Amino acid sequence: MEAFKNITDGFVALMNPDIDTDQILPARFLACTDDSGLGGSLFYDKRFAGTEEERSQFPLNAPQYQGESILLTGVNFGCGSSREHAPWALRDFGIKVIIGSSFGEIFESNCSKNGILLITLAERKIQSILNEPKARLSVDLEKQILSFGNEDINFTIDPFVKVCLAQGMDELDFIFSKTQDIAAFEGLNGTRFPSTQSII
Amino acid sequence: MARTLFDKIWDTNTVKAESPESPAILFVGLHLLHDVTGPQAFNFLEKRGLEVRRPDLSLACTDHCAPSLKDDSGFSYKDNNAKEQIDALEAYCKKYNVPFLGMGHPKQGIVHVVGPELGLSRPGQVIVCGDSHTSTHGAFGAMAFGIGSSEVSHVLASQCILQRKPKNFRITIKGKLQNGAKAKDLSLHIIKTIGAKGGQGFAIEYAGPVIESMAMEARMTLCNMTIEAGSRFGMIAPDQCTIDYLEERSQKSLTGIYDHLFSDENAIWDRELVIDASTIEPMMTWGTNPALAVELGQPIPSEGHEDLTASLSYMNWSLGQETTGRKVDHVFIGSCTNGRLSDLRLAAESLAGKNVAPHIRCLVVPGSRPIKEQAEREGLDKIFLAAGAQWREPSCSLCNAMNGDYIPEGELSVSTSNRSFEGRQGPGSQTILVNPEVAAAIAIKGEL
Repeated sequence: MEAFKNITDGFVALMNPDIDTDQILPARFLACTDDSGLGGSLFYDKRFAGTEEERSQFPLNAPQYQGESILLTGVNFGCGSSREHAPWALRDFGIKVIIGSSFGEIFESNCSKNGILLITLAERKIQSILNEPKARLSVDLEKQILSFGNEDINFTIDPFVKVCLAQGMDELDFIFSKTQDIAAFEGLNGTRFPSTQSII
Repeated sequence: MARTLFDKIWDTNTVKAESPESPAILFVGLHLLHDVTGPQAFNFLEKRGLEVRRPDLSLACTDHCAPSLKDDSGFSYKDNNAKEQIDALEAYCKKYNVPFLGMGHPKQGIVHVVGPELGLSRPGQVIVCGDSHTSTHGAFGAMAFGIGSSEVSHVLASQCILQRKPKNFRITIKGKLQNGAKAKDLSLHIIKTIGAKGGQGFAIEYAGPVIESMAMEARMTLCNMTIEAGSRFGMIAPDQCTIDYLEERSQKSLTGIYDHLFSDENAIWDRELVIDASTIEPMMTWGTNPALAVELGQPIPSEGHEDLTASLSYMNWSLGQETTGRKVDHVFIGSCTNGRLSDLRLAAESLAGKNVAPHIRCLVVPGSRPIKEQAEREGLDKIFLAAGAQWREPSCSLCNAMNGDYIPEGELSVSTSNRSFEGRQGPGSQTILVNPEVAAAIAIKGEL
């Protein structure tokens, strides 16, 4: 995973509540055996279906929002299916930071494994950003500050996720650093778990 | 110190305790895989040159891309991508020695149907799968939750998963489920009550007399839908009903070994909710997430949902509109929520001697091959076919529309599955969620 770098950029707002991962990446694009090249299918049914007017109203299609790497989102963004294809598509599309008041839990966990920083803020803070649609937002992960105009907003982040993002660390390497503990656990619990191989 | 069931399972399976700097490392007792999130995880593993640590605690199923149709030449895959997905999973499983239930295997089926059916979903263990409906297995008193493909690769390589401990939330269900209300209706009622994100940050334990008298399949339906309230974990303490179900399937005596798995009387709950089941009626969703539901036959709410105009317009409803009489195009009976034998029996009972309305396409899709075969032994397939419904092969089918089955744009589907999301059953499709008995009744009537 690539290390997260501080950024300054404009933002795109997708403020509908409960935008689920089926909307972010529709199911018919899930049949793929690796994690690359999904950006073109991101929000496919919003970006490419319906009338021309409907499509041009979708924020990711609006000319003034092209190339932005920060998403501002409504409540419960990323709820639903566990498909990591959703963050893969967002990453491939160029999204690096997602700001919202709450996120689907599996989606949140998946983002941190793909270098995407999720910033959870109170709804009134999100409203204050929305009030400045042309603002450029600066994100400093080390200081945990999101700033725009004259405003600095502190955000909290799980210290472990922060280290992983900042260093581009794969969580698996952390697990592997405790291999002795895993072996000890297996030694103590060897017969506790039914083997799948004995049943099939 | 008094602990909840969740606390006990968490403690027993902790390899390395949580600290402010790092999450807990938990040992996974059962790792279930499927064709849509599995191959990428094996691909990560391969790229790093790693091995599968415990293939004996892993099981791969074919369900998402599994075709529901076959002919003399075999299964009718949606396209090459779908077939490649399943072939890739098979090749990886072979290479890494992971048990694999491929197409045509006598035990093949939906991952959340198969685990319990084989007696593998056991109380007290951590069960993970790259699928959000893994909470289903919590019905056995397991800590079962959905993960992403990166985490699937972590579990393959280490048999462990990193987790921060959620808070404890107990939902006690009193009274009695009646008036035709089923576990599905109870779950829709709960999701409506706490909201689509009401369970975030919590592990939910369902308890109380209604749960104690529920059969295992109904418990699975309830736990399955927990993710639709935002919580990854829905669980029920094991009891004699659990033991009987597992003993029958594993042919082993399990008496006594799960006696410690219950929430202590003085355990501390971060949140509690008591629900009276007696007032619950059969439910239907009207909006684009399962929290947006009303009692069957009731109109769309007239207020309080103005912020959901997108959902209303997607589903072609207006505030306060009557729901009764709206024409339905498709009925789907199946999925990891309601594709088990008891669900099929319920639907068959309603359809026996009746006809599906001529304009309705009704698909009945069993959750697994053993269910399909048992249903056929009981003659349920003949009832469905005689009524004009289609009897398909085990798969996720119309729940997520990945295997070639889909609802065309602008058409309305009444479904026993778990999500009424925009486009879930096909681009531009509309979904209303109900229990299997209601689905069958609507198939006959042709309208809500």
